[in-house]
Amino acid sequence: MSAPTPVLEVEDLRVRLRTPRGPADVVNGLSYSVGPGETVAVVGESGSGKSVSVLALLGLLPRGVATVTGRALLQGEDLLTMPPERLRQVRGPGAGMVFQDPMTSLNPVLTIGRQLVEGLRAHSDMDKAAARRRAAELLGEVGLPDPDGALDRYPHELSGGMRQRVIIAIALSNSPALLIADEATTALDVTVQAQIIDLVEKLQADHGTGVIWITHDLGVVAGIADRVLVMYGGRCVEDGTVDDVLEHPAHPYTRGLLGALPDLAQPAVDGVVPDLATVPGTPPAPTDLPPGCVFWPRCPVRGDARCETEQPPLVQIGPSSGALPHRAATWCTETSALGTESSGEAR
Amino acid sequence: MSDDVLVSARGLEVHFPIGRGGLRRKPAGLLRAVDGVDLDVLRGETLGLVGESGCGKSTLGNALLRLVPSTGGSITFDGTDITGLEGRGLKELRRRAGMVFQDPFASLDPRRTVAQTVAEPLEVHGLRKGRDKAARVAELLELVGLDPAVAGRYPHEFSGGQRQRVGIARALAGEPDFLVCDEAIASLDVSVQAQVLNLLRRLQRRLGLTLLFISHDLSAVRHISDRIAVMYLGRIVEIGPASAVGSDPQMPYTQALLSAVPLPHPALERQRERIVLRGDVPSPAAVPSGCRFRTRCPYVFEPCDDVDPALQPAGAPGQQAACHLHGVVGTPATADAEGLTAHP
Repeated sequence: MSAPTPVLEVEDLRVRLRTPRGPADVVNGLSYSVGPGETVAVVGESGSGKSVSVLALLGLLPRGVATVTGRALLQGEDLLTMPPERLRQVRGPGAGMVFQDPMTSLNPVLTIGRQLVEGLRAHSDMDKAAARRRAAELLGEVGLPDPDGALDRYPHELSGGMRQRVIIAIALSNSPALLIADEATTALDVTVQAQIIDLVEKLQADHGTGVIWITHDLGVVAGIADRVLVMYGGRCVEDGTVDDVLEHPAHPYTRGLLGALPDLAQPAVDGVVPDLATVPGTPPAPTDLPPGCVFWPRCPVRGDARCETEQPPLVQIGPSSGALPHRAATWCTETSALGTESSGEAR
Repeated sequence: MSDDVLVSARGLEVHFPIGRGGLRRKPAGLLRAVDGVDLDVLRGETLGLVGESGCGKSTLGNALLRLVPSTGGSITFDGTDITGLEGRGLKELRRRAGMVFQDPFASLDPRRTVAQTVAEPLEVHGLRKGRDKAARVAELLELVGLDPAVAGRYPHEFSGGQRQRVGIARALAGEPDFLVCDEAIASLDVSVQAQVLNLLRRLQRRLGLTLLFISHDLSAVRHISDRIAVMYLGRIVEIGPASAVGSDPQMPYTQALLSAVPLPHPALERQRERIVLRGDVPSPAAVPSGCRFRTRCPYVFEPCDDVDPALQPAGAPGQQAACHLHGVVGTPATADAEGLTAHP
């Protein structure tokens, strides 16, 4: 996955929101890149800043409330300093977005066809008939039965899975270089989720689209991602190839997340299903982040004197299996390796 | 066997009339949410109930607790027929069988303190009064892992996981024998899900509860359940020990469902063959004739069109599947046109 010019390059992205309780630092220095055809999964609990970080990229945060700094180069152009008119041109052919809830992201009073044609015509000089033909083609591509008939239907006439396909069709209608999927399959059944994931992978292979896949489901990550970025408290606490991060997690938080997951693959030890490991407590409020490691208040390891007071940098740890470095922001990769592995599995 | 059964359903049906609108009084159709379910929940077990959205699993849970009226069949609770129970008997059932709801943000009254919420069942059933009541509330909060000092707080002061604990404390207040957890962990973060799953397991062991754990999350169901029942279009299509159903499913639908569950192991995921089902679940208002899974089944063959398969032993001891691949057993479809047949 090395070398080709990345589709998206994010450097030191920071988002501060004005809230009644004072400034909230929701994203604190996020840097990553997405190559063509590559899938980067962003994982973390609710409130870790996953969604805000991508909304900020596309200028979808309310102005006056959010202050966004850093750089985000989409095919060489900085999204964060772009004038609004240019940004509107970029959303679509540059970057498409699929939101979590298929029930609310379509307009209920417009037909599917109208919503697709609108997006197509906004970014090209296609006439109505051509746009309609292209729309039907797109619906066929995402696996909707009877695409021509579907154009004249309203969102409420479709099931959740079908609606999510329509939304993906809209996001892909202008063959974007980057597709951002924010919990795109979370509201769907596993069988439909499998269909959607297959679909995105196929389209990605056909068009070389770079994908940012935001989710809290580590199972989905294992299936779809090339690279994983674990977010906590608005920071990247661990990143690397999907194999490195899921099979050899280094940060106590990543280990906690994995330990908390009921695992269908290895459920019982001698016929007894062990209790799940848990991460006690809740994520820190973005208005009141701890001075040291963001995970310190909940960390079961705390194996270093600097944990409480000094912020650990995101640095390479140990050997990596792929072309990407495996990095983690923690003072105690060594101790944690002993610490939570045993308590996580045995308890 | 019957002594071991706490809750039992025979030929249970919950049909809703649909399209009854305006001046026309005749229902345009029948939505078969639960359509002929035979189910035994054994005393002290955790029975997991899985299926896709719209398969009728929540309606079944509600029907077993008499929270929605059934339109056919019978329900037995601890040896007593509760199908038509009313008045004092029904109130006693409410004490003995509780519910933990999905959304901890919607299922707690925002204007009542935690203590008021948890104490309500005690008041309704006249179980404790005055100082006893306060002591019982404190005991219940401690039981679910909350500090009794929080009794005076309101729901908005709690996180999702803590609220779900309050919901569980409320459900336990009347010392029930049977608890239905309907998607009780669906709206929680992974780490909080783990806490609630551990709590439910601990409580179940400690209090000898019988649990019906309804969820679409197969990994969680596999983790917590002794037995698993799989539901499709209003019918139980497979049931058996969790280990058997989880690792060697006998019904093609269960196989597809399990193969679609993503596992957090990249290497395993890459080599896994996924059975991708065609299309969507048919509408429960237009259930296919014969086997209801035949429209999506990869193995469909001749008898599937005409014979509605019954549950029959398949696979491990105690495992049953409703599938003709294990021998053609069931009701011919022709007689079942307008609900003419009474289920045996």
